[in-house]
Amino acid sequence: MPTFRHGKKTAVLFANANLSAYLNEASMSSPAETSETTTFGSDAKTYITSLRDASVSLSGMFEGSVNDPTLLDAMTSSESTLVTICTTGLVAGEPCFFGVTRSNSYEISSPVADVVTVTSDLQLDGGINAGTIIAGGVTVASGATANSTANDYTASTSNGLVTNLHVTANNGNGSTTLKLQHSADNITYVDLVTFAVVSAGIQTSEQQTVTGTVNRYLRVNVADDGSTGSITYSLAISRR
Amino acid sequence: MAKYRVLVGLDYPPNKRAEAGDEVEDLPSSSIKWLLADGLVEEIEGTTKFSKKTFIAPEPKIKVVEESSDELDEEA
Repeated sequence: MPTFRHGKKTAVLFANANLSAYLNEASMSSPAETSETTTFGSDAKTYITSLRDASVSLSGMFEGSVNDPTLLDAMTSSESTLVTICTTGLVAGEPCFFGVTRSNSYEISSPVADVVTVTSDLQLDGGINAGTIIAGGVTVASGATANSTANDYTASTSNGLVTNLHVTANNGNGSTTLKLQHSADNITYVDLVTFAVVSAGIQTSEQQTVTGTVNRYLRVNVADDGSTGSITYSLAISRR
Repeated sequence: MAKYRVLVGLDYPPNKRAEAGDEVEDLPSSSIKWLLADGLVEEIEGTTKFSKKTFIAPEPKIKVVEESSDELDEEA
């Protein structure tokens, strides 16, 4: 019996912000080009798969303080921006789609008899990654060292992975080191990805790619050397 | 007890941390096999009774017997 999902739980992480409370629609498209290889004597056309493309469209309400500066910054910045869309919310083990965006449109609509809305179309650079959430909206207190719940993928893989980290809140007064760790036995965990140290009060996002063996279990290890406040992060991965 | 050199930072129970280059001898026995197989730790030679030592067999002694030319002539 298939388990269908309702869109109301969808979460959208964009750069260093969780825009879920401002948006009401998120869509992802991943068309693949095909090149024709039909030759004389064929009765039907034949094709080979060519390049994949991907884009994301976000729309919601204009608020002007959080979501729009974030989306607008992405439009005007030459830097790429990370986006992660989770159709069943920021829940560990649930599916998500993520990538690196190059924003190519931003539109505000202000009708006389309705709410002001915003729409942004985003071109993905390098395609879309289908994966799962390892840790979703997890808050760690300053001064703490914490491990997320282990995610069991039932088997190891040998082609590496790509991961998106979003630090969406941070009022801590210390530096935070986040690592993605893997294990074959859920007992000993080895560092797989070490993200750039997050300084006090900084919200950020980062994508990293690793090659080689990725063991069966994955978790996030967070070490913070502050004394007050906390940091909130989400991390998505896609095995290759 | 066997000693291992850690090649990639790792955490192991109970709440222990080893950085790359550290030498440890209290890794969980159940983890050692896969850590070695994945090249994440390496055994420090000579720290276990099961350490493999290369055995070089002594050269066999060869006794050279010279046959006299008279005997060779008789055989011919």
